Amino acid sequence: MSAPGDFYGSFQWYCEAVCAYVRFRPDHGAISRELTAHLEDHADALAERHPELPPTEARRRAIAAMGDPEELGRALDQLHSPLLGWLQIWWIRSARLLAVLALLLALTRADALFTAFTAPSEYGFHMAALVERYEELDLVADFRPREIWRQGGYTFSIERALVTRSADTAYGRESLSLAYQLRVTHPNPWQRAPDFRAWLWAEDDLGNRYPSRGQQEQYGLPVRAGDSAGNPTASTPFVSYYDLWVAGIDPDAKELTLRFDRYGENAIYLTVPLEGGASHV
Amino acid sequence: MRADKNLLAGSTTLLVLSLLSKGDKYGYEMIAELESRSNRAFTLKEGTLYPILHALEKEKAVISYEKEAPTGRVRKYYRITRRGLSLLEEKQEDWSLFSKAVNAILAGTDPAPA
Repeated sequence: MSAPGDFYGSFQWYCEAVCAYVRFRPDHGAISRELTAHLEDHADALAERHPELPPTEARRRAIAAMGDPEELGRALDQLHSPLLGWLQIWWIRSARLLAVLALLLALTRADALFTAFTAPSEYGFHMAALVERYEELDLVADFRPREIWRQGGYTFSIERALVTRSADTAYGRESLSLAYQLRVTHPNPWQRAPDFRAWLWAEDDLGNRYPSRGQQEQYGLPVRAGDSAGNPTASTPFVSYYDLWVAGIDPDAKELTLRFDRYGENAIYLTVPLEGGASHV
Repeated sequence: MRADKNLLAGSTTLLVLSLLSKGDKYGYEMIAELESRSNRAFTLKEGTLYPILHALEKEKAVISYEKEAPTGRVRKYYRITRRGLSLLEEKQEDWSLFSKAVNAILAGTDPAPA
């Protein structure tokens, strides 16, 4: 319909004349599409009302009705700020980039993500060493105690307990040792991995006490009296594991009660039968 | 008669919002409706509609979307938002206060025939 000579006065010419004043280039396309549709609508309406009108005249009138392209372009430029426009574009781009990166990271680390929510039940150093020497142990019991203890949103349970007998010279007498893997679940990820192990102490049914490391240091108690200690192993948003033990237990004791009472009465109070019990592993 | 362009300038936003409160419309549709409803008293420079629409969109008083007509012509439609509706209410009040004031003055100064 349009030879090169018809460019001046065409709809395209008008849109370009408007956009020439709009500094934010990315919006030129949308503005041109909107104005072109308007001009075409206007020209079509004229053609319908005045069938005798030549199409070029209809287009000319449509453009004339639109008004001065410079005035329109300058007004639109005020509303299509380059600074805000580019900020918005970069904001969207960086949000997309971040989303893609997060997705890639999640994909490459899908196994880690999975374990983060399922919690690996790996043994700590102490328990692993015992399991490795399993055949050499003078084993009294290997079991999963049934008892659990709930306190302050935490649930404490013992996944595996090993009771061994040894003529351990460190305590100057034959004694029992309890090694256990403690599992602590907590619904709030911010409260994961409670740091209580230095203050978790034990008492047997004969009244012997096995102080924690914290108590030993604070009160200058001899380690020879028996000892409750250990380390954290794995911590995930909802589950934490600890590799703990009580050593130098009186061989006549039948039961051991684990206690954490630093911040009040019996915050943790878990009794473990030393002959084993509940489900044996 | 044709209305003075300056009289219209401030109220075009009100008219646009009022048209959009009755349904989604594209630019030319609004122009045609303004003309026919005012019995051609208003014929604004059609281009001035777009800075008004784009300003309303920036204020989030309207949102826009492109839609293709059966003829293949892609038009940009505008839809009034909740914010736009409350802006319309505000502007309607302003307008009625303004027109009452103008009418009161006109009534008071109505010159008695000599």
